[in-house]
Amino acid sequence: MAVDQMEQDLKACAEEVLESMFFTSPLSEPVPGGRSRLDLILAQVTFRGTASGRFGVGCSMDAARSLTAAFLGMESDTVAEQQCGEVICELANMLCGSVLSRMEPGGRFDLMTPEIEPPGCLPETVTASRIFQLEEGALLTWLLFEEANWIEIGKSKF
Amino acid sequence: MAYNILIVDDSPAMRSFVRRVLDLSGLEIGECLQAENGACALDLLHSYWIDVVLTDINMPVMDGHALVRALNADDDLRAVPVIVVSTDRTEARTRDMFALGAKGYITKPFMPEILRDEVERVLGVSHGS
Repeated sequence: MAVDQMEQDLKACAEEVLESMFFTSPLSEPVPGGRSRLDLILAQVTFRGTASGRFGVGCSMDAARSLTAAFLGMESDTVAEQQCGEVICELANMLCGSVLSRMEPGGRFDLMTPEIEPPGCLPETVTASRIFQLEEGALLTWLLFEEANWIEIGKSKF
Repeated sequence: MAYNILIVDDSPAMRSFVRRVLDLSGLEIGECLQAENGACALDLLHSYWIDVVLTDINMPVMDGHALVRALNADDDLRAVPVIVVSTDRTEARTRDMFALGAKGYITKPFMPEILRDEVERVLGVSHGS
């Protein structure tokens, strides 16, 4: 699978997840991600199976509050930081499962429990990444394959 | 008739989301219990009457596979219908869960009405009845 196809899958899955579960959608076409986005709440999911690797999301605090409020049916100003973390972890979980299933419908994957990462803790290289601009801030998504039999892995500097 | 529902997911956020969708569904809900893994769910199932279980697959301690397998092996709990709510839409996983005894399967993300329709289908009720 080519990297540009993965990026298309990231885009399609992010749009589907945001629209159906968070009742929002990106304001514009996504752009490639980068390590300059260090001011984000980060969550990461490790996966094993047909392919192994990590999937991550990063979100500005304002965007995280807004997404959390939409997901939990709350007002943004009543959202606690812990709730933001839980929702961003679930967002990572849903996006990871959705992207892997779309890339390889006949595959088999086990997703580990998503975890919040320290600020700035992003991988040096990724297989694919995209940043989506939401009304309240940026949403970064990235995918890093460690090994896979069914894919020609190309990694680019993040 | 009010239905007792058990939501099993290690994500508190997802349990809250599912609970909110059920509250807005129009379905008459009695008790809506929550468990963070399959083992906690089994404890609740042995203590409360549950009409339907909504469970994730990937969870620590006891995952959704083990929960569905345990329910199917228990004479008292075998009849409790289970709907899997998972990010995993691969053919192998879906086939596995139905083979183990799941009665429904919803993939995340889902539109709220998809969850309502699947719960109603499994319970044999129609919206608003």
